[in-house]
Amino acid sequence: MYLDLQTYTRPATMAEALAQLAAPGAAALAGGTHLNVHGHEHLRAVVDLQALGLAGVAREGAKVRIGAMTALTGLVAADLPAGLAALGQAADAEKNRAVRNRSTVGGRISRDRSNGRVATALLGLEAEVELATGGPDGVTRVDLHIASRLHDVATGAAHGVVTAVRVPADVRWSGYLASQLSAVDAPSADVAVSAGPRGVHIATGGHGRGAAGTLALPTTAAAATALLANPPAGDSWRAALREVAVAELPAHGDALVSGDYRRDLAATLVIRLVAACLAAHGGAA
Amino acid sequence: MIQFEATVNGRPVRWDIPAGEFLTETLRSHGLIGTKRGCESGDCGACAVLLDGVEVNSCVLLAAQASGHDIVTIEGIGDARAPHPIQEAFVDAGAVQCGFCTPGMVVATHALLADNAAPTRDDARHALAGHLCRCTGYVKCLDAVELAAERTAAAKGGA
Ligand SMILES: Cc1cc2nc3c(=O)[nH]c(=O)nc-3n(C[C@H](O)[C@H](O)[C@H](O)COP(=O)(O)OP(=O)(O)OC[C@H]3O[C@@H](n4cnc5c(N)ncnc54)[C@H](O)[C@@H]3O)c2cc1C
Ligand code: FES
Ligand code: FES
Repeated sequence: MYLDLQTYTRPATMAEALAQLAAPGAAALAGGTHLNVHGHEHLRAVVDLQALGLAGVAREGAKVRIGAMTALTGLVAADLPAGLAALGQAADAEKNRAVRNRSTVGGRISRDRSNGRVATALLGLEAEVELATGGPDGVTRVDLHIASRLHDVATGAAHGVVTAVRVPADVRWSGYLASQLSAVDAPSADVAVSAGPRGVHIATGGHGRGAAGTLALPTTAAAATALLANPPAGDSWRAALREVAVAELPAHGDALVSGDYRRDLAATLVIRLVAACLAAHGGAA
Repeated sequence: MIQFEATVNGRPVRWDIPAGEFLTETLRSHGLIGTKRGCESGDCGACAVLLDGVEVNSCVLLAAQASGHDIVTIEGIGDARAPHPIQEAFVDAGAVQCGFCTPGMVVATHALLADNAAPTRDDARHALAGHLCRCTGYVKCLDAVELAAERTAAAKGGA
């Protein structure tokens, strides 16, 4: 099998990479597990990011910086603070090992379909995305909230090369949970929850495009998050949480599941994950 | 055409290839036909090889991406004249029927044992996930991983 490519380049600097990406029909190539399978018909040139030194995980002050070319297995193996468990759990749930060895964090948040798993976990952790834009005249660094990045990708408005994502290092706990039809399917719905000094954050995601072509983008469940800041006493938080989660989550249906099913499933996953995290962390958000 | 330079099964190679050629094709067209063409979409594991010691599906990897790296195919692990203990374990455990999935399974087992000399049954399942076999029902493949791990440990203990 072949891709109909005219050029393959492996630039050594970001300025060169951005200049090469400005050519018509050029695309950034990370692991290639998406681009090499679904490369669009106008793809003529790939600009391989492997020589730009974008892989690796490091502590940077109050943040953990994850290089865009870090593979999902690298994320699982990284010595992350215990509070960032959701990231390793989401990365380890991705397909098979050979795919996890190649799929990168940057690639995962730069493709226009099925942004679940690591993307959901990053949204649940309120990640920031670091981009390089510009060209031969200079490289500019831009920071974006993960939700904006995912939205830009889904709407075709994304630009620049993702160089890294940053997540807060002071998250007290986090977790990730997905439900899928079988072990080899993408998640029908997935959920990430985190708790830290800025409160509890819940994100839910799922797979595929809805009937209207809208993407089931990971969504921040703001009302559910607010409810957990002041939860009703005893066990009644579960019913209350289900009610707000069902009310606020989008109902995107696709070839895998109906919209109503996905929304109900996501609400159930939210409750199960919050309960498991609270039980594991002494009941305190 | 671009130039592909890499180490393949310990041997430096320099081949001219089309920019858009996948690694499976490059390897097979140079005689390394143990790397199988299956789904060609990253789903079945038949085309697995080691890239710098890490398992990858060569059907979703441009050969150009692998240029400059170290590649090991099933032929570099062992062959009929000098089989690797993992290959012997697959035969002895009855994990080989038609054999189409076997090179990929052996490559995956090799990568697993390099990281984890004493895998549990669950570790083996996790490592072989993504390797589809239409013949064996998988139980014997998992048995083969256990047998390979036992034999490797025994060989090391006895050395
Ligand atoms: C068997 C199999 C199963 C899969 N299952 C799933 C699944 O369940 N869910 C799912 O979402 N995906 C799935 N994928 C698709 C793919 O593995 C992931 O989306 C992966 O994370 C993409 O990462 P990559 O590094 O391989 O990206 P690539 O394929 O290299 O690139 C993907 C896209 O992102 C762009 N890009 C890559 N890196 C950057 C960067 N740093 N900056 C800007 N743009 C960039 C590329 O131009 C391209 O458009 C699967 C793939 C395979 C082969
Ligand atoms: S042929 Fe490569 S994974 Fe199936
Ligand atoms: S032995 Fe036939 S596919 Fe596995």
